[in-house]
Amino acid sequence: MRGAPSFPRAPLVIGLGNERRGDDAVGLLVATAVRERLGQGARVFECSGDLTKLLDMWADEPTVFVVDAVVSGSAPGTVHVVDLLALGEGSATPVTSTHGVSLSGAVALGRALGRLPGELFLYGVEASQLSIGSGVGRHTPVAIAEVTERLVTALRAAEGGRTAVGSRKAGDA
Amino acid sequence: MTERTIAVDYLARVEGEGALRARLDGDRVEEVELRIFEPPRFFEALLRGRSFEEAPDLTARICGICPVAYQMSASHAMESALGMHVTGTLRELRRLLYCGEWIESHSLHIYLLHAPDFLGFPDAVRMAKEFPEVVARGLSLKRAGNHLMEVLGGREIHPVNVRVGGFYRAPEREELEALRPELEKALGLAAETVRFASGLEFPDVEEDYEFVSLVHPDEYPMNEGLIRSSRGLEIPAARYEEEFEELQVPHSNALHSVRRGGGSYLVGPMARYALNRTRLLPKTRALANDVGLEPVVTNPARSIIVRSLEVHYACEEALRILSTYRRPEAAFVPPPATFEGGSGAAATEAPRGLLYHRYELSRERLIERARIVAPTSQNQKRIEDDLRHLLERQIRADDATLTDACERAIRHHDPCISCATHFLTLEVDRR
Repeated sequence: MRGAPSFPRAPLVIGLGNERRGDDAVGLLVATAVRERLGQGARVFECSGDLTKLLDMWADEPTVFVVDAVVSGSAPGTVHVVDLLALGEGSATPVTSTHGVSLSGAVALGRALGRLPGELFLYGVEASQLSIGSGVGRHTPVAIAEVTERLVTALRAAEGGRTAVGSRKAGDA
Repeated sequence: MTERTIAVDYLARVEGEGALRARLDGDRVEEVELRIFEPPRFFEALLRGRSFEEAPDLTARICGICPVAYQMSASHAMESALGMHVTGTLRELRRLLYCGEWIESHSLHIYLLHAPDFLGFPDAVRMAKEFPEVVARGLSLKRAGNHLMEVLGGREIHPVNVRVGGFYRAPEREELEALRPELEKALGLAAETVRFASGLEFPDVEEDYEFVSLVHPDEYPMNEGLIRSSRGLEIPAARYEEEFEELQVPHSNALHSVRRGGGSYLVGPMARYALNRTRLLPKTRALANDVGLEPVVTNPARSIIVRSLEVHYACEEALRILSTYRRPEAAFVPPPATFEGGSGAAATEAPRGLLYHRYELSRERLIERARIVAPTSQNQKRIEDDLRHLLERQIRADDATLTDACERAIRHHDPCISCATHFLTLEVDRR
């Protein structure tokens, strides 16, 4: 994990997920919440389905925060902050399916093609339910509020030309 | 030589969950089973009792890479049942949306799933390190397809703008014109793709396929036409079930399609090309000639060239449609005011091949029975035949070599197991 990122220009927030698959909606819900707090001018985007387009969204960006559901075995609702550029090549999951490129696959492709941002952090929320139509788990709203607050703080700090956002180790709740 | 079993427990670079098991006895191939263990998805059952209007969006959920195909086959089948006819600009818009899906799906398969086999890499990420320009070209092409889907379909994955009779909203001319620069660039990238694919090294293999695809007198088929076989059959979609049947096999959750009283057959790009080569648009036909592509491709490995040629065709066709587009006054043809109940069938050309839908509707226009036959279930038995022939040719090779060759042979056909269950782990049993 690297230290707190600096912001030469406004960071980009990208919420990933599927709105119909329980906690997998968490990235989209955080994106909506951040936009509601900061207004339509905030650099907040959603990305569902084909993650190869992340390469276009984040290439040449100084700092990008990606928000997604994760499954690591931690307690549901745990917020993980992971420096994706520090993970190294060995952690990438190969692209294996016609239907999708995973986030780690997109990072690996971006690395191979020179299409990565300067800094890339994942805010991952530990999921407890991912079945179709299940709605988010009972611990998830608190995690959404926490991630939203941290991103709003980071984006406001960037707007003010200051450096902010704490980065916790993966697994910290 | 004793009996042995070759097993691939989980097939890579295909969509869905499947495996392969082959049992060899000395120099004889005893059994080849393409096992599809992805669970059945019961779409035909859950459609019962639903309104005819829901079929396009519900069935689109069968597949995340070819949802347009499901929307098109469902819409056409419903229109057949209801006696509706979609013509003119709305018909052209449907072809345009299909172009987006062909570009997106084929580009993904060519560059991220299939090309690594020819260039000697286990996956596209490792290929991208050595050949970044190749993978970048594939992603650019795919993006052009995605944008077309997004503008016309409302979004790139599971588009939401298709309805029975046409569209919920027809785009303004300016919206489509904005796509022109990217599509013109994509046409050039597609030509590079055809030349790239033609320059790959291919194993010397010929298969005796019965090709099945739609044919249309005026165009390379997407939405409409008769179903033709390279062995003489030519029927409307309404007669599909008279000539083709689905069989249950114990080792697969996907049904096997065969010709009634016959054997396996092949749908998809190789079949479309073999039966419709003369209906390609001029630039695409000239490109096929330039690279010396044979009129009928029977080497399954060379399907990557045909798939590339279809990407070029889709770009050329999309630009043709854009050049004459005027926004229609109505975005859809309304359903008839009265309906006494009835049935309708249709087949359209998904990227992976013929997709058949048939529905029976009540007087209230509720679905009483649905039948969906996806391309991969039609190709499943034919893929097993390819694998049997491959194993016969290479039976003295070691298990690792056979396993690798079998997985490649399967990827030549771009199977979508999720569609078929509505793919692969190889197990070779040598005795």
